[in-house]
Amino acid sequence: MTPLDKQVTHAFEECRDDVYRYLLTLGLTPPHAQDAAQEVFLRLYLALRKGESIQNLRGWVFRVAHNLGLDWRAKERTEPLNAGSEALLRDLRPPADAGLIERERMKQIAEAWKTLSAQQRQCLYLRSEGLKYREIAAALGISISTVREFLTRAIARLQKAAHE
Amino acid sequence: MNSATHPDAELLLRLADEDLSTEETRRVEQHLSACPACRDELAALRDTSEDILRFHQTVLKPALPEPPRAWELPRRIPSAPRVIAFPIKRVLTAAAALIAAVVLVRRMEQPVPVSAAELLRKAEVRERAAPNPRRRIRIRYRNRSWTRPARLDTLRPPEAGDPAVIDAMLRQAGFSTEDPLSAAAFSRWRSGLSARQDQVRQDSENYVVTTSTPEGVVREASLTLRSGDLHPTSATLRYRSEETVDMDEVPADAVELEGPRPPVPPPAPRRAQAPAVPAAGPAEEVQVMAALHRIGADLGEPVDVARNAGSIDVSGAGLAPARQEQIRAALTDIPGVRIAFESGGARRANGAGLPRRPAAPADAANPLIDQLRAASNGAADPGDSLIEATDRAVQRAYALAALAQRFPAPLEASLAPADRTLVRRMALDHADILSASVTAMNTLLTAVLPPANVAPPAGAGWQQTAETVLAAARGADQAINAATADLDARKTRLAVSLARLRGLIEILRTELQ
Repeated sequence: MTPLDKQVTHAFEECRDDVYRYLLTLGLTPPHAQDAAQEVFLRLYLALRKGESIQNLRGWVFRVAHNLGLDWRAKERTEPLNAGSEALLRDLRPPADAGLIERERMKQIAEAWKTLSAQQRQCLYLRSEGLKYREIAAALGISISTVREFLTRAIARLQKAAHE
Repeated sequence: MNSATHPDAELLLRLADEDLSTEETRRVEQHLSACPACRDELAALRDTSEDILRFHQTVLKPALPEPPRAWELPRRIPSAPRVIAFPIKRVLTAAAALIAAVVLVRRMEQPVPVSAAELLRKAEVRERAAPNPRRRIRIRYRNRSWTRPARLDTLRPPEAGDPAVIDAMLRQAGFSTEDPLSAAAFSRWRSGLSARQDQVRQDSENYVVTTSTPEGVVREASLTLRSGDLHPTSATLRYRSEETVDMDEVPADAVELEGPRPPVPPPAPRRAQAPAVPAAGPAEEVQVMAALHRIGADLGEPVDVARNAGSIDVSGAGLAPARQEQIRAALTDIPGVRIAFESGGARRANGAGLPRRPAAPADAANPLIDQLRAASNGAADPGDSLIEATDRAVQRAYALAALAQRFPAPLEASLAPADRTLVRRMALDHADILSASVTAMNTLLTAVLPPANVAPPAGAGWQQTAETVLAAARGADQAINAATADLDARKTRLAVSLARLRGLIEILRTELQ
């Protein structure tokens, strides 16, 4: 196996499920999200083979995934924007084995999460996936200060919800 | 922001998420060290942040359905580059998918090279998601050894017996003293290097990430992560001076034996002994202000200067020890100066009699900034640049007004010519930076602001003008940050404030000559 193969395989195994789930949150159906995720790693492979220098693989992969996800949604138009993510939002359940307090807390956060704007949710989602602000900004195609604003507001709202 | 104003929610979040520059981090931490309210706010924010991570891992992601098919390895793609129509055609048959799965399983038996960055990132996510407040670590340096909680609140006063030398070694290395044996601390050090080489070794139990660099005081650092859960168990820093700092985790059973540490009462605030001092007057006050001005300690830091009967009393609250030293050194040759630093407790800074700058509202979009962003295609964010320029302008306007209040016209007139020149030179310094910041704001805003005609202001002595400058700077700041007023009214107000500022700065400069 060449070093390139190793690198791509490694990134693929590390990130594919995360990328796939992120695409689901963009409103893609599971089969489409998986196709798009495969496409992301194909592009990664091609980019690396062309000798492109990629500073942060994870950031790169999410950025490409976001753009592909939006392309897909624009082309298909088979379902209203974000239908997928709205559908899954109805079904947020705390883990069954969690304690009472933890379940309550997770429920509060889930309720507040539903009230966030799609972009706030995306920022927060990518932050939880370990992306830095700079990478979130690149992935979503917005400025870093907008990312900061979105995150600040989103977290303030979740924080408030947890204390009500 | 300056350290006299409370950081807003965004700044605290950026601190928690390590999105601030070293300098900004220093400033916010300096404020936090003096402000229990902001510390509480930060702690609450960190709690929420952990809740959100758990929500992400245990609620949100499990709610998303599994992928419907087996994954296809991307390297099984034909080697010639081709344009791929999206969505890609599903080409793999079930049999091929099975082969892919077999290849995958076989691969997992072989040691796969792991990237240091990935390992660290994962370890960081885990440690953020599951903090362990009872974890303890041992740090060894030369022949000394110190056992402490893994995570320290650096903002609390130092405990008696803290080996300051170990803290100093860590700090020198650019390592967090708050939580040094962590993937976060290691990553932060590592990502600050522009040249580095990573190596990852794996044995049956651990990954060992070793990063070496030609930069800085540390030539090599390594972090050992348990393979099962990527939990950091030990770290070693090798300094270029051939010294070594070792850290390892104290096993949990040892912690039980040792028991929790009894809380140590914070030490009484240190106050300099007041020796008999020669009488000091306005001339010495000018010297003190000039000395502070040279080290930038007149820009809203919590440093108070008061002229009392026969002495100039300089006091500060919550300043870092290094900054305290710097201030002492700057003031050392001036007669009649008494210095007293307090290590804790919030004190209002010099100029705190002036209204505090309100934090930007966190709950509303700022259409002005959006419009600015929309109007520009450049790589740099004009919104960021505008906010920075405005902060700089407001900071200098406050410094100017504070100087004017300290040396009102009658007092200034009584000063010796050399001292008067010194006061005016300080004011001119502030005016220069204010002027540059206003020009920067103006350039950024040209495209979106309406023209404004304002009558040229009349001069009434620089002290008076300084007050008016502050009012105009705050007007501009509010017009930029206001959440409620309608956009056109804000723009008009901003254009007028900026035009007025430009005129006032000109007058001020003439008056100060």
